[in-house]
Amino acid sequence: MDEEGKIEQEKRDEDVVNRNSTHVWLNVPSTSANLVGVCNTETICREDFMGSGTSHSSAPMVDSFGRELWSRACDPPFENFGYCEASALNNSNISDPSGNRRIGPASFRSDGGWNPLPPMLKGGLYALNPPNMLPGSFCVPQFPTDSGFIERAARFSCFSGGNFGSLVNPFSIPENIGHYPVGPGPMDVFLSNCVKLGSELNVEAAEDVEMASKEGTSLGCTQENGEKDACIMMSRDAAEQGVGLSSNDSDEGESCGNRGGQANTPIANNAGGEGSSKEVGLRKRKRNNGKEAGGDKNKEAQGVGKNGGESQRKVEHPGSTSCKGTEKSDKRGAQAADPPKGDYIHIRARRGQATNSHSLAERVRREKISERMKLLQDLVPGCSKVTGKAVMLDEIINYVQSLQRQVEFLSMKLATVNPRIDSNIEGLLAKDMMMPRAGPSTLGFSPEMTAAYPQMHLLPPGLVPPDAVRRAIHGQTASSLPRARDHPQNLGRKGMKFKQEGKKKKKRKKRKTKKKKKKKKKKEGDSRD
Amino acid sequence: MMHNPSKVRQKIMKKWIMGLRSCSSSHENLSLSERRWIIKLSADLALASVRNGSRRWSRAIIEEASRNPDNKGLIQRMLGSGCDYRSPCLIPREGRSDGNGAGHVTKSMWVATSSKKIVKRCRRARRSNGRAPRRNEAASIAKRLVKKRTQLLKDFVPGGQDMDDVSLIEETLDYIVWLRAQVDVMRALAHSLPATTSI
Repeated sequence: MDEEGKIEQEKRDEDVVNRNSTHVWLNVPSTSANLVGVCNTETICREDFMGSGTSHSSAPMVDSFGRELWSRACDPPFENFGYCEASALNNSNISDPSGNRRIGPASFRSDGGWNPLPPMLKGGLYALNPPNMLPGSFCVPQFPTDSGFIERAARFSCFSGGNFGSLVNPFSIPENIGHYPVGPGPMDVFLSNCVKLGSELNVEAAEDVEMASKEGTSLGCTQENGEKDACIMMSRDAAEQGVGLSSNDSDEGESCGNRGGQANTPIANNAGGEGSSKEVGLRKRKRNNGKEAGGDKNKEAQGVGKNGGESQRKVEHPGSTSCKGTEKSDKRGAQAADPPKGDYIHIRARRGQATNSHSLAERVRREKISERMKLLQDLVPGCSKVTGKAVMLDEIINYVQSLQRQVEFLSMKLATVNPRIDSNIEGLLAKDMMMPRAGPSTLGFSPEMTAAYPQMHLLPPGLVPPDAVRRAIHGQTASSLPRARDHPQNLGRKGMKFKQEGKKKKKRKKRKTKKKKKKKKKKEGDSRD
Repeated sequence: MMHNPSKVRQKIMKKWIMGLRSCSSSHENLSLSERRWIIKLSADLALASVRNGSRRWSRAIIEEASRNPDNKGLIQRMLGSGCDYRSPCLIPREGRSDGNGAGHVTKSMWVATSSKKIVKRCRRARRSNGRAPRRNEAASIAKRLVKKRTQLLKDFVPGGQDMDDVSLIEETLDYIVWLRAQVDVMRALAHSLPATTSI
């Protein structure tokens, strides 16, 4: 898509725009790159809609929507943007009263499920605004990664990721988890996507989006590009759902946090939020199941994307072809589309399905399994785009294996460190309580920093010499910590080295450790024999 | 799951170091492999004890470790004196829905799963007798793959042998989270210690 295409669309949809007389804006710098980027956004949007088999009537909606996205530059209040979007999408609903429910992002139920939307949009767009305020050229965003990225950010710490797994397929956009947009550029685009995708979530997830975008806001508001990186890192971390962070990501996130001093507190809050939010997300998910069981369709009016909507409809209209298709694929076992969530309380036999109690139970069991698999998908890094039980299990096995190997390697390493295990323990306890940086890979790091300090008093007084504790608190190097015995000469140097290492080295180390531990294992096996 | 990761990690660290101390005081001259074994064992036990036996894998770790008579002393020291691995001291403090004791779970679950397997086998035999040529090769292949991998996973997750799929995945979930915590703790220790080698 280039600017010419954009101009054509402008002319075509002028009437549509006129109809939507709300003040639309997007603080879009008039660089062509950005326009291209946004055009890409719009194009792919339309492709999505098209791809989902919608009629062309959705296209004007998209055009107007997209057009309004980038038609105005530097216009005032961003609140209107939310309304514009809402109105644009409302138009789509109006124009498609039959409800082309197969529209991906626009699969809103026409029964007035809009109410929860504006606040969420507001939240999202509040986040949208500050980055746009900043000058500078935006790099061309990679939309596919953004959508997947946003999707993950949207389901940040919310285990209703079951619906997100299904979201991936309708978009049929290849995701690349390894690619994260770095830099200030994609911020506005992906937040807008966040908003778009977020509208598909159910209410709880929408709250999470708001939370995520607010976090992004709090981070983005403080400073400029450096902070933006932190923001993006945080969002990325959020996208990985906290627990799902590999140490690499968390390392970078932490380094970003260290870079921007002001970011630490919001990151701390957010990380803490992330830490607890996994649980919250779990609880929310379980509640969500209960809700579905209750059949509260209006509450989930926003739908959860195609599959979510389908699952609702399946209970109501078992005759839909999509459900049949899903059932067939379900029977195949390793299928691409995840089966819809089971209703624990009230199970209905779908069309083409045996009403045998055994098969019902089978189906429930299968759905349980798929739910859990989705949870695991969020946990294991690099698995969100993987669908199918066999591949997922493969990844899980590899991950568990690698973790166990890491444990073995680390124990090996520790065994070689010092012949006298207990000699360092006094200093160690003090040091390690003060060194939460070393192990940040799960669930945020800043909570540790703050939580570590109060823990000091819990240590038995005999174990830790008070001087050591005091010095450790004040961040002294290892060399200053008194050791009962065995002062290795290079202790000071190594201590400094470790402290100043930073996360990149740890990353490299982690990669090396995996290779090393295999060698060491072999060595050890030989020595044992 | 993990309410406060930092606290959890500190707990693991403390228990681990406690175990190491108690162990090293009794054994003075240890070979490298023995040291490694002790370190790993105490780390695993620390992890399992912090998890408090509310999960099968934690109980399984402790059971496995206690099968070796050499480890009994360490186990007792780490988990509290007078606490036998078979005894209900491993009963979960956190309220799990099944809320079973350590030893009971194993047997009952084993019985349940083995009986399920028998039933499945019979059903399969009955079905396959009257079946026409396989219509869906892909599905069967997929199922076979899944089964193979499930079995592999059962090998990796401690205590996963006698579990059905659903609970296996739950256990794996939990296990992964806590295993990560353990790795963090160990890595923190490894980084903070000076890297002197002594062999």
